[in-house]
Order: sequence, then structure tokens, then C-alpha cells
Amino acid sequence: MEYKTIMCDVLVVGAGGAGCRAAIEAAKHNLDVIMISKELLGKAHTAMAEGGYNVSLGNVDPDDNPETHFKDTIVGGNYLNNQHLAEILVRDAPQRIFDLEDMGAVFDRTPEGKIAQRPFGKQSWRRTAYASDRTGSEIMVTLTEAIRKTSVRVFDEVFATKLLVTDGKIAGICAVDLKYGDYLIFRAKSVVMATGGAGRIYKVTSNAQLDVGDGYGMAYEAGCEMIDMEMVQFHPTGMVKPESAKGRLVTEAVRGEGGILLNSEGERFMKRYYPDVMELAGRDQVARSIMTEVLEGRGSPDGGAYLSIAHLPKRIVEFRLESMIEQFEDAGVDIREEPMQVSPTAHHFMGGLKIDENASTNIPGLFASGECTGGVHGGNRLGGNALADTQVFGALSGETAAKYAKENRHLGIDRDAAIKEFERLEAMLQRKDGVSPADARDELTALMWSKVQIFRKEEDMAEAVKELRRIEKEVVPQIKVDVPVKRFNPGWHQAMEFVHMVTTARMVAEAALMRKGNRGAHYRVDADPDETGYYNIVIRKGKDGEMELTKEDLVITKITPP
Amino acid sequence: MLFRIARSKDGETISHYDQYKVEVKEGMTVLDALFQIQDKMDPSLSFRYSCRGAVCGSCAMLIDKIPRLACKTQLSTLKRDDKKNEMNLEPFPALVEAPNGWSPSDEVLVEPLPNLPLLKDLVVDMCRFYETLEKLKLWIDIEKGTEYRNQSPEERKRIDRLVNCIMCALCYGSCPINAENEDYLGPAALAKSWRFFDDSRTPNPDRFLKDAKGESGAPLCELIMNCVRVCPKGVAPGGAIRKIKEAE
Repeated sequence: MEYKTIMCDVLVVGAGGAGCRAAIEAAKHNLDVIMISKELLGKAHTAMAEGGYNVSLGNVDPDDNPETHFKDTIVGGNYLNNQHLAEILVRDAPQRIFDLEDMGAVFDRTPEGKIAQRPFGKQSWRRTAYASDRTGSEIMVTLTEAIRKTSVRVFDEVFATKLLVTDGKIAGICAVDLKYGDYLIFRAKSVVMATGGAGRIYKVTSNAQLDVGDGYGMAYEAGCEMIDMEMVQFHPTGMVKPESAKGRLVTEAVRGEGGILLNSEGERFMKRYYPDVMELAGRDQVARSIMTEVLEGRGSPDGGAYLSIAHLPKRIVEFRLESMIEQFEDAGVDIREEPMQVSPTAHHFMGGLKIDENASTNIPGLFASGECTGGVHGGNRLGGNALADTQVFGALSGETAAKYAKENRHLGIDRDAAIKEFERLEAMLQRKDGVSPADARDELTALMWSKVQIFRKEEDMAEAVKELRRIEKEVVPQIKVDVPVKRFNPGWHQAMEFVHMVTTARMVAEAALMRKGNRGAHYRVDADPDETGYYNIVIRKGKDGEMELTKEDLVITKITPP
Repeated sequence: MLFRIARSKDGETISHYDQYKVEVKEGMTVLDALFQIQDKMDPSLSFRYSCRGAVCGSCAMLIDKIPRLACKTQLSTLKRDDKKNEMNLEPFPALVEAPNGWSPSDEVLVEPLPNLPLLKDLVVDMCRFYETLEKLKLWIDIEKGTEYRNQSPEERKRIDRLVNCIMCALCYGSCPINAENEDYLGPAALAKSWRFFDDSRTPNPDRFLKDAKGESGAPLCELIMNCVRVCPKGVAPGGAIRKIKEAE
């Protein structure tokens, strides 16, 4: 088995908002930094974030401050957040947005020339900084420009498949160069995981095509602890039609700017559910309200609700929601004149790699940041906190990974484990009989969408767990690629991804089944009313290779749950 | 709907075209059609994609001889006599030379984006395009601050369209000058130069203008404006290049 070995000090896996920010920070320490990316540089899902970046600058509401941002984040997260992490988020968010400005990012302005801020759900003040409704794209473009200036070596279209651990510490990773089909080992003193979420394990999702949970799968297999995996955010407003655009995000900014939700009877139904905050209730709350309307027969013709901004001044819509106009134009709807049809779509993973205040995981040398981590957002993430998360924890993980790299040496690589990994990948290409990744994926995403969704119940989740265990045992070893070519072989990529999808889906389903009450995004129709649910579920791979789930106490610094 | 798709196993040149019959559903894009082909008919077909929503700019390709994003091109808009299909692009060989047997009235022709080396099927090597950004040093020379910088809404508005660029390279692939001169830095990089030059916060704007006026830059542009016509984000690079040419 031939492979190439590439050495560096700090390795960053993933090149979205968090990965780029981590690499930029690590490179400041005069170290050899490599960032690898599954897609071309700049094409990561961060670019799809629309609404904004939460930061308590107080530019429009002077009374805002980090304390209030913290409180909103914890209350919004249903008290499940790791409060140390949430404190870091609100503390560093201002400096990190100044960093972005220093790198050239262009945010919208107030009349006095300060960064403008708009209202988002469940926040006490207008706090969300934005660049029209393409904030993530602005940040992504800026970070790729800044990366080009640094000494960071970018390996794009390189797919990490396995973390290599030596004596319980991180030693490197196995990867495949998608361009040429070469097997690669990256050896590093420290590794930052910034691999994003896994919306793609659901049939209907706002996520980019490649967000399949690679990081969750790899980290779990390497013995990394995962937290809050049952907490999947369904964004209340995804596109309903056309079929090909189903699930595409309709930004919360539409409601932030004054958009209202109506049912088929023309009723503004949010007044029956959350009369105080109406459309700006928490994402989990709005998603359930829309689904209740649909299930009770008051949905739109294509199974959603109506979202209307036709009453707003056209000038505002055209300036602040320009991508939305464009996005619905393709669907034949002029949102300035007629309502959009929307329904919930799998959007964000609150859970993920468990990190501490140094962004380090339980594996020495392995750090993590961005959506692939858990703890910052608890049971429900506030709109606008994810972009802030990528910058705050991206920078933090880059810094701590650099420090670790300075204090530690390269470890030897477990060659047998690496070769075994490459043989596993090679076998997918050589296998004659088996299941194609496209079919396997369709089965998995349909299962998750129907059984582990917004309204959950015991028997559904139990069935999902049973099915996923079967898929893991029977389908995963049988994944085959029809064309045995290594260069740019999409079937092969999807086969590698599928394995990570199954592990991720299983963690979501197993944790969801364990949580008997309602909390945050986890909502059961058969909930145990006596369970307050003030705990986190932590998952790790046990010594016997089985998935272990344990309940752990919340990490509280300032706010005790009611 | 019939598709004729350029194939190349080893890159460099298109070796042949394969035909597929795609089952059309309402609202399908060319990218959806490519997924259907990959999933149901031919798993060997290679193309790039990521966001599906015209934000990441991964799926730039030549569709019915017009450079466009596959995810932003609705099948229902193809084969119609309208603005989207009649862009009046200044021709160069890749935009005109049709494969034998292609029937333009009922067959969708999908080919790799021109002006960049072909790696496989619809995947091109983007290095040359990205290198233009490095050559012009298109980044801010950071002055570390702990305060944000004021920028009036009017100053912000000056660069409003230019910051919408998603680096999809459609302009580069549509430019007749890029087609004949590999050294030409191309529309996207030059437009970005103007974006930095005209940004009120840039500490040293003149370097961006000077470099953009260099011999591989704006002087080579003949203001043909194919770039303006194909840009999916309304960036209008040609307008920025005109300003570079006129600026002192």
C-alpha cells in the first residue's frame, strides 16, 4: 500500500469559518500550519450563513452588553450550555468582529458609520451584525483573502478519513487526495477539527451537500467524547418548493426585519403560541408552531406556512434581503408582492466534540471549534451565534493548538492502523457486490427525517436505533463503488462519507432515545412531564467498541436553571 | 430531457460526449440533473458542487455554450428564446465550436468552464485563477485594531456590488482575452483590486490601483463585457476595470 507522508506543526481539518480562523491564528506563532479542505478553498458551508453575527456592541441599542448576550444565550439554549464556553463566546465576539474588519470584511453600517445591528429571535436587543443577507459569504471571502496572506499551506480537495492516535495522544490523520487519488498521512503535533455539522443526515436540510458529519464520525472512532448529539436544530423556515430547493434556508432576518407567519386561513398563528415574541420566538418554538399548524390542517398547499413581507417597504426588502429576492425569483415568487411558503429544515448541530475552555478535547493534542463542537449553544442555538462561534472558538483553538505544538513533539505513527485504513478505502473500490452509496444514503436520510425529527416519540426512535445498528453492521461493510477510479471519483467520496453519516446518525438517535423529557430542540410527544432534563448526554466509544452514553452534570458558572 | 455531457477521463481535452435522458421534475436545475445522472445512470461523472444555492460558486460550467452556475440554471429556462439564453457574448472558440451531432434545439450541452486546464469531465484546474489573487496580493495589510473602523453608508455603497463576488470564475471563463492570453489576470481579480482601492478603510489603496494597471492587468482588457453579462451576482467586473483604466 503506497502512501505519502506530510509533516507540519499544526494541522487544521476543515476550511470553513472556524478552520480558516484557526489556521490564521496558529500561523501567527511562526509554525508550519497546514489546513486541509474537502472542497475548494472558500466553498465551505459558512458561506451559506445568511443572517448575521451576534455581538453586543450596542451600536443601535446602547444598553446591550456581554452579560445580556450571555443570559440570552443560556436561556435560549434551555440552560444546557457549558457556561464557561458561552462566557468566552460573548466575551470575545467583539474583538473577533474587529479582526474581521481589519481583514477587510464589509458589514452594513448605521448612519453614523458604525457596524449596523438587527433584531434576531430570543435576544433582548438588536445585536446581530450583518452584511445584507449574505453575512457568511462576506466572512468566508474575507477569511480566504486573509489566508492567502499567511504562510498557511492549504491542501484543498483533500478528504480526511481517520484520526491517528498514539498512546492516547493525537499523532496525525489519514486522508485521500481527491484530485489524484493518493493516500496521505499528515503528521502533526496538534490537530484542530473544524469540520462543521451534519445536516445532510436528514432528507430535508439547509446544509451544503458535503456537510455529512465527517468530524463526528472520525472523532468518535478515535475515542473523542461527544456531547449533546440529540440536539439538532430544525430551522423553522426552509423553502418548500420547488422540490429541488426543498430545505434551502430562508434567513431568520426575514422575520427580524418584520416578516409575519400566516396559516391557510390567513391567521397570524404565532399569537396563539408565543404572543409576547410572536415570530421571533426561539427557532425550536417557531418550528414546532409551524408543524402544528400543518398537522392540524391549516398548512399551505405544499405543506408549510406562509411567510409574508409584502407589507414592508420595498426599499428595505431590496436592500436588506437581496439574496432572498433572488432565491425566490428562481422559484417564480416575487417576495415583495406575494408570501413565501416555508417549513422546517435540518439546520444546525448544537452537539459535537466536547471541548473545554481551551477548545481542547479529551484527546491530548486534539482541539476543535465551530459547529463540529458541542456545549456552546446548549439545547438550542440563537440565530447569529454560529458565525460568532466560528470566529471566537476558531481563533481560540488556533492559539491553543499552536501553544501545544510548541511544547510537544511529533509522535510516531501507528503504521498498521494507517495501512488498515487505506485498505478499507481501497476495498470500497474493489468490491463487486454490495450497496451503492447513493441508495444507502437515501435510505439513511429518509429514516432520520421520519423517525428522529422535530416531534419525537419512543417507538420511532427505538426503531431508528435498531435500524442504524443494522445499517452499521450490514450495510457499511458492503458499501461499494461502481467505478474503480481514484481521481475525482464522486462515488468513492460518497462511500467514505456514508460511513461517517451512519456513526453520526447513530449518536443522534441513541442520545435522543435516552432523553425522556422535553428540552431545547429535543421535543417528544410522549415526554415524561416529571423530567426537567438538566443534564448533558456524553457519548464515547467504549473499550469493547460499543457506544457508551452517560448523563453528566451541567457546567454552570453564573445562571442556575429554574 | 436529453443531455449531452463532455467527458474526459484523463483531462487536458474533451475526449468525447455522453448522452443521457434525464427525468425532469418541476423546479429542477442543471445541477439536479447532474446528480440524477450520477446517482442513477453514471456514477463515474465528475463535477464540483457544494452549496446548491449560488453562494459558493463551485459549479461554474458551460451550459448550452453559456458560462453559468449549474445550481442557478433552471431546466425550464433552457431552450427558450429569452435574455438568459441570448446573452450576446463576444465569441471565442470554446463558446462557438459545437460537438458533432449536438442538436441545440432539444439537447442540453454541458461542458467544462473554458480558459482553465481540464482535469476530468466537468472539473477544471482553478489554480491559475486563484494565482491571480496572489499575484495582485488581494488582501488587506492588517493594521491591528481594537476598535471598529467607521465607514459611512455612502462609502460602503461604493463597493456594494463588488463585495458580492463569490469567486466562481464564470467571468474568467467567459473572457475572450483570457482565452488567448494565459497571463491576463482576468475580470474577477481586477474587480477585487478596485474593491480594495475604493474601500474607504484600506490603509494603502494606491498599491491596488498600481498593480491593477500593470502590464498583465487592466491594459489588456478591451472592455468586451462578457464578464458583466455572465456574472451571477451582479458584480459587473467590466465596469470596475473601466474605472481602473480611467483612474490616474
